[in-house]
Amino acid sequence: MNEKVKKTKQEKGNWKEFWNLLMKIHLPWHWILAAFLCNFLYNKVMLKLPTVTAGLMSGSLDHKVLWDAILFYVVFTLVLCGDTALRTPAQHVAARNARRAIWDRMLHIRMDYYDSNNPSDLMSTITNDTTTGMQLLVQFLTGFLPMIYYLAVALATVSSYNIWLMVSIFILLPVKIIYMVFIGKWRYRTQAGLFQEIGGLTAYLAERVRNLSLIKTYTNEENELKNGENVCHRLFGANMRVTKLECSVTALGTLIGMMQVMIVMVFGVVLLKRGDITIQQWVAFYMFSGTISTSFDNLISYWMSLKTIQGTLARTARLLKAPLEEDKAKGEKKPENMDVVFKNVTFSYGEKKALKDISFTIPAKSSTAIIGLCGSGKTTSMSLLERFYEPDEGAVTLGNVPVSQIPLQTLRGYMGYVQQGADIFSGTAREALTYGLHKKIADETIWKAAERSGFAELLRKWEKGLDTPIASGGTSMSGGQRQKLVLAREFMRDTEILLLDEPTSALDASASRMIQDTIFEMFQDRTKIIITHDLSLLEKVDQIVVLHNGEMAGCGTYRELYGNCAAFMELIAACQEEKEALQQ
Amino acid sequence: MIRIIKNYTKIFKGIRLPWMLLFLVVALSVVRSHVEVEAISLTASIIDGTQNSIKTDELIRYIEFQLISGITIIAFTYISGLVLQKINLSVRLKVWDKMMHLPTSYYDSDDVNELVTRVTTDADNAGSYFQLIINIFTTFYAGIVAYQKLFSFQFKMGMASLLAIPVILAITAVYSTLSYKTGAKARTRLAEVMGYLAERVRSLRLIKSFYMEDEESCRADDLFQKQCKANIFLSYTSMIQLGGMELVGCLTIVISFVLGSSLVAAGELTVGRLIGFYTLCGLATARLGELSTGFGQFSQSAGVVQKIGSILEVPDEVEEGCEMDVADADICLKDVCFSYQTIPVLKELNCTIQKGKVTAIVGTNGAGKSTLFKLLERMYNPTEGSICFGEQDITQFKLSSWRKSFAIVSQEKPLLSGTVRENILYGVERQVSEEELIQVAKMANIYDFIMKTPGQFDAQVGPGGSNFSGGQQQCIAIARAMMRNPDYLLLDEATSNLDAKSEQDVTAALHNLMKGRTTILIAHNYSATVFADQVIVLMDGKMKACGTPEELLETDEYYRTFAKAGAGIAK
Repeated sequence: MNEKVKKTKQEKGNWKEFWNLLMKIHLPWHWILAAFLCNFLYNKVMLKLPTVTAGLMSGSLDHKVLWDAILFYVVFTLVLCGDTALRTPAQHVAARNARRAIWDRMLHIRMDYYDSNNPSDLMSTITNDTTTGMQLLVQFLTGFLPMIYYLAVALATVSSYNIWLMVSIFILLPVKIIYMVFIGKWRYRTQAGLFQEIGGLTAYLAERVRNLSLIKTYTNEENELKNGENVCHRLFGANMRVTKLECSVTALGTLIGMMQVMIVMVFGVVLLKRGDITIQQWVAFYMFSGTISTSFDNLISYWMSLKTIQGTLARTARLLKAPLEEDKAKGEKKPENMDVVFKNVTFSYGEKKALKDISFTIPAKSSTAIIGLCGSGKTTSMSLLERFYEPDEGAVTLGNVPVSQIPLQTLRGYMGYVQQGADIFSGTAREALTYGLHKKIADETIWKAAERSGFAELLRKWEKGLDTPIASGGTSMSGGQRQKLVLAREFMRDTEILLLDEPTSALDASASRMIQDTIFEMFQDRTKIIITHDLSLLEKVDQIVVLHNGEMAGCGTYRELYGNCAAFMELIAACQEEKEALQQ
Repeated sequence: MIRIIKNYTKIFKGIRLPWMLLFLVVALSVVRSHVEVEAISLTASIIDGTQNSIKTDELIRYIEFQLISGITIIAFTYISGLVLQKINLSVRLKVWDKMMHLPTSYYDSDDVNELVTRVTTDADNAGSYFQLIINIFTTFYAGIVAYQKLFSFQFKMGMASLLAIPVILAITAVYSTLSYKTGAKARTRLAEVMGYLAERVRSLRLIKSFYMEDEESCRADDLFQKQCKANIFLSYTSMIQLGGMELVGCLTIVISFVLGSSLVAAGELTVGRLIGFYTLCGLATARLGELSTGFGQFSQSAGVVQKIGSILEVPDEVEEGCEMDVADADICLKDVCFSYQTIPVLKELNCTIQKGKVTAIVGTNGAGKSTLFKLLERMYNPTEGSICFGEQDITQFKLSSWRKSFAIVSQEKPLLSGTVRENILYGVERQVSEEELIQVAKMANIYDFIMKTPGQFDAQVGPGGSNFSGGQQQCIAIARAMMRNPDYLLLDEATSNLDAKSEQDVTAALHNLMKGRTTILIAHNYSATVFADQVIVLMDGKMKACGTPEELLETDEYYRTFAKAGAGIAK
């Protein structure tokens, strides 16, 4: 009993959530209303169809009946086309709006949401879920009520002929409902199986295609062919299960339809013989019985599609509920200067402790290297500074103001960001160079900045100069060239603090040295915070922060740490040992 | 249209088609057309009959017909589904087979995800070719049967209903031309959205860091809007077909009743036959509608099929040649030139890789180091010049035999999802004993941590090896190379992108691997070159210097800077 109450409550909760979701995705209500009205009209016209046809078929073919009928068919065709002409745009516009809402949300969600949800997986929410979800939803919204209206009027008309006629239509209803529910469940299972196999094949192929040179080097083509065949055969099996299902659906549907026809025929003929109905009524009834039973089918499938809609949009709903980044900082204080201070900062990703009681100060315009093994919390500390996460304990302050009290836009506006992979979006060189500048930049300025970072050298080689198209991720350039591009961009952004996350690790020795020199030359009077594995940088910086398993292991200049900090010595020793091992 | 058909035909070359089943489908559709038409004429006579009295035998025959038609439809659905899936499977397998044997250069140009969709979704379009052929056949046949009946009902009305045919043909022609264009447009727009999102989704952090949320939101809005527009256009195209067919339906009704009513009044036609006529017209229109949808689909998937066709046209890697059963020899590069598309990468490269020695290659990014490896592995062939193994040109050896004598360990350390064991034994054809596996694991420095991992050798490595750290992944990749026991070892910056501690483990494992093998390594730091027997300095695709490390320290400027950079911290 209790459980039941709980369940209904939960159900109610679901409906409320569902309603909230609909509000959030901004459905195009005017389109939907128009489509709804047209559908209503369509159903109204449909109701006339049996009487008109029956009139014709009963053989009384005088001019008035004839022209009425012809007029009717023309109107019917027009309304039918109008119905589709209004509904499909409504569906597409709804899908577009949903896409906008989801993407907008994805851009503003707090970063920790993406720790447990891979953003690449969320892509299909925007592309696929919206298409299917909105198609069904708009269909439901525009079609459900008119369908009920149609059924009510049709049944009333039939029962006005003779009450037994209506009974004959209802006899098979329970069978139909059981059938639809059964098929619905079966179909759900089979479709899920199919999607799983498609997913399996895609994953298998993606991995192989990406690692093709491995397969070739290991001359394993024949084995992979066999594996691929197996996966393809499994997909074939799943596809055949769908085919079998559809066949069964046809078979059962035909069977039920025939039973329906027979019942209707028997009832009709009996009533006709007793003289309870006229031949005209019988023909009209015969036609109604067909449309009424299809309408029932549609009604049931509408109802079941609601569940599908909820299922399809479940991920969307979850996404739209994910917490946003807080934009409005409480104090709206301005930092007094650009000193960065970590004060007893503790932070964990869920259960996993990432930083434990970290304290250090980075004075404005100085350079600091953060070093440590993988997973020692280097990148995490940068994320805290940029407020992608909030510390569990302690505080990160910028110019004596906790970063949580500085508006996000202002805070992030102070910081530049360069990382190992060099994020470059596809587009022209100009777009890549001015990304994140929020304003139009004169070509002259761009060239100047490119000149400073050495990117101009490459730019000049390109015939189209700044209009040269750049591939996604900048794959058409070498690693060093990519970093030069990013550095030119940072130079124009002209931020107070530059965060560099392993800026040279993807480069060879000489390129990495050159990029290092460029960084120190271009951003001489800016705060530089550098995460690095590259030990050759350490002598250049004013200060080194050594992290070990999320704890502070040391902080100071190279000379101060050398010989005094165990973790620091270990990092350096590892480097030297490797060198000696190689020399032997 | 002819070009499209040609494309389709190309795909089916060399595929065993299920001819028996195809024949069965055609036979069933013939039965189906007859049964449908007979059922209608039977209904007509029943309706005429009811005006007087109900004949039980006619009712029974009616039920019989319904049953037969039901069974035919089910059999038709099942078998045509089976045929479709079988054809799709064959095409899928053929494309996959082709992809395994394509030269590597093909994979440079095309996007990886695109290639995957060739096999997954695109192959599903191949079957539509046969669906269309069968559809055309059945529609024609059913049309003829239906019209025969129409004419037998009443000659004048049969003639009148022929009027619908040119209209239908015109609609089909317009629809299939338009839907080809609008369909392509909609697909391009979708691809744009996907491309845009895929790129941004990977760099959400950058977007936030630069406070670009609003700009990106606007840009996406624009793309979504364009996609929405293309989709609406596409649905309006199908509206032409839908509306057109409805119009034809309307036309037939008008014809049947205007003409029919006068005929009924004149006593030349019974009411039952008029209704039968009307139903037959409806049936014929529905069939033609299906056909025109089929045409639309056919021309929409033409683009996709063309892509599959173009893959199948690429020549395979040349496999033939003699076995590599000759003694080890030096590998000589003679005037080797190589260009990616039109960009020259290697220019007249001459050098010798001595057997049993360690050769290190240094040079700036883009100097052609990795390309050289690819040429050695014969992933590509030199555009000019030749590579010789002893006296023989390497292209004379059988490709698989040649590649079997190489193993490569690169910074990418690609592991395939599966267990640790599967990864270590990847590409090994013989049976490997547990002892041998353990021995190799120990040599590669992975035994200890694998024993600590739950599941041990049967532990899953996760997608891309993500269950293990970078260093561990690299060591597993080294074990894999050891298992292969190659004569030649290619190391491509195998220790870069690792932190200092893991670098140590990996280096030790590499040393075990290098024992007794000819090794060619691309070095990113000085320390890796000092023990080499020979160092080659590559600059802009040319060999700038070559010699022992000591010699080069004396003579080569670049190598000196390189050495200084590497020595930096360690002094």
